[in-house]
Amino acid sequence: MPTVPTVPENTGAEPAPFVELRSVTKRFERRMTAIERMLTRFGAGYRDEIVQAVTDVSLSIPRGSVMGLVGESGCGKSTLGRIAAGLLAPSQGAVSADGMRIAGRPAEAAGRPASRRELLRVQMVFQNPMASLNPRQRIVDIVTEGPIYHGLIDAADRDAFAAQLLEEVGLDRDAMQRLPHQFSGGQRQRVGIARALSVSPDFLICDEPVAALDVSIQAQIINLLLDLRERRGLTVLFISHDLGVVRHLCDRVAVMYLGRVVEEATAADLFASPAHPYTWALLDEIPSLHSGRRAYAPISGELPSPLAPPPGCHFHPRCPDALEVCRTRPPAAGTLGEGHRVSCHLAGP
Amino acid sequence: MTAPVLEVRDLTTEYRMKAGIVRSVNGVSFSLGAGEILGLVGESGSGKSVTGLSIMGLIEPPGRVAGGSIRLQGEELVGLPEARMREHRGRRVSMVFQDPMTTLNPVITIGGQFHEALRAHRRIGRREADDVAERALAQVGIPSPRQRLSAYPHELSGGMRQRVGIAIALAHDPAVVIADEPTTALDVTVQSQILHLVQALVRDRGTAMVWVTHDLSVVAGLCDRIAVMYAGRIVEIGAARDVLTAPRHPYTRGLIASIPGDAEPGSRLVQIPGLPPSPLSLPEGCSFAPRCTRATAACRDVPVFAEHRPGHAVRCHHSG
Repeated sequence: MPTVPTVPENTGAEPAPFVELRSVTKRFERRMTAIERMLTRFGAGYRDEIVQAVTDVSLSIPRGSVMGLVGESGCGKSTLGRIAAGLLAPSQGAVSADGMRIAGRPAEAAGRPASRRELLRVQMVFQNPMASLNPRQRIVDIVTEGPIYHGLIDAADRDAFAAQLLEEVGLDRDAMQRLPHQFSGGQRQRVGIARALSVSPDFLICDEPVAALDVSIQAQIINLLLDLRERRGLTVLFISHDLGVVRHLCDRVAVMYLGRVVEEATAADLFASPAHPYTWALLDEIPSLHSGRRAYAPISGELPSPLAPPPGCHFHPRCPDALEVCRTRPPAAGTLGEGHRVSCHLAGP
Repeated sequence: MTAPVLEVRDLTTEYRMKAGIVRSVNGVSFSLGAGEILGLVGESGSGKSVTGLSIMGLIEPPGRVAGGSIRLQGEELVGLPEARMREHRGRRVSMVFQDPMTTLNPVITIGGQFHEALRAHRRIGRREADDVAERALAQVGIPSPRQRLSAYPHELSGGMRQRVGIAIALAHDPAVVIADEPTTALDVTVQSQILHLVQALVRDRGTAMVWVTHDLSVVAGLCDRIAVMYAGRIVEIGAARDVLTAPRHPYTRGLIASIPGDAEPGSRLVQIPGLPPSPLSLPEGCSFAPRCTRATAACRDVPVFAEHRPGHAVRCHHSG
């Protein structure tokens, strides 16, 4: 079994990155068929469709820390999560974890390629456990299929292993023989988490794990994730659109807009002094219990189509302070203080 | 004080299932004045949506409204023949649903759906209906509304579709609008736009509104009053500020404490132990008692509403 890494003491120095995403870019393309190509020559309106879902994203996640990834639907955060998990191949760039290459071509990645066994160290928890658990499989099989297949445990130890794992995620031993539909949403999500943990990963990607849950159940799952992180020293990429949850759970936060990371900082920095106008807008619009009856001042417009992103800075059509340069030139990433990156023409240090 | 626009008294809605009778709504009472927004808050299965559907007269077998009264501007809706109810539905009381992709007809244009809604209650020509629809779409902030009339629902974004849903619900200037989680499927920035829009429309027209949601922080900025539902009953009702800042029911307190907003980052959130009860086997007495830290022998009896201060009532033996 892969060993569980220990969480390094906080020495104040920048910890070495455990997971690194380097210039990850993902394009989804739908090329015209031969017939469409021919028809286009006669004036039909077909074209190749290219969606740039993720553009040049670099992130490094220190061992044992939780990186939050926030943004609106369609901003590419789930695509990036899947790339980090090795489920999707990036068009360019690479992902590595603990020196092993998870995804990307050899030329672009440091380190040796991960073996199949080593890839088990990267696991994913999905948003909708009803859709990601096999409805015909009993819980005991769901959480032991992976480790038995990969030879991590003996088939004879199956029940004991499952019972221990389920206890760790707060489920009863009786749960083992039941099917996913016999559980509530929160319990199913616990099963999803148990399945991810069954092969002792040290990098976990959580794609909106609490979005589908009721408030009181959401708190239970957040507490479980906090416990697991401590107990197992997990490094986590936590994808969410809920900034309240992200603030509570994450050490660092990256904000995505239309495929790019526009701002990245420690959670404390980001919430205390957001630098990108999009981050301001997001923070302003978190509904809060204390806002009282208020006048909403929403930013205008919606996320533009990734099929036809606006030129220059992608955010300029919705930005209240856009300058001429924002319409023509995409901003480069600048640094504001330690570990606070922002891509905006207006955000000077 | 003016007479309430909507008055719900002891509403009880049941579903007859093979396994037994499920009382989804169990003696719900509230009233609503013109221009007032009531947030009806609860978790899945608490009966908040069924309450909304009961007011709309949209409960279908095996469900039925088993008792109580719903008065719309003084007129009793419970027991009204379907033909009469149809005259009210969409005209005097209308509904905005959670997912406009499933409630708009995918093969009819936006304009076509407007015609349908308008013609249901008045004689109106095609050209005039287009004009009405265009104005209504412009009012909910849809750019180039005339062109949008010939668009199909799938050609609009989620936020735009929900704006269409709101425009259709408001087409006949109803007295009461029931909104069932209309922003749950939307992103925060778009949600904020919709809340802004709804607040302005309700204020301008004096429409009474019931906003059904599971998200307390959404109702905090929008609603005048909040009713919290648990297992088919309202357990706490009062002015939004009172309920949010000085909740009296242990369930409301738990819900508010479990929101990550105020807690120290990284700390354990307060969690309500256990799960909501199965609607087929509700606990005797107070339904929340099995999950409640303050439960005593007294909780074996169903607590009655106690008015804690004017307008703030709680259904709990230990709220004092």
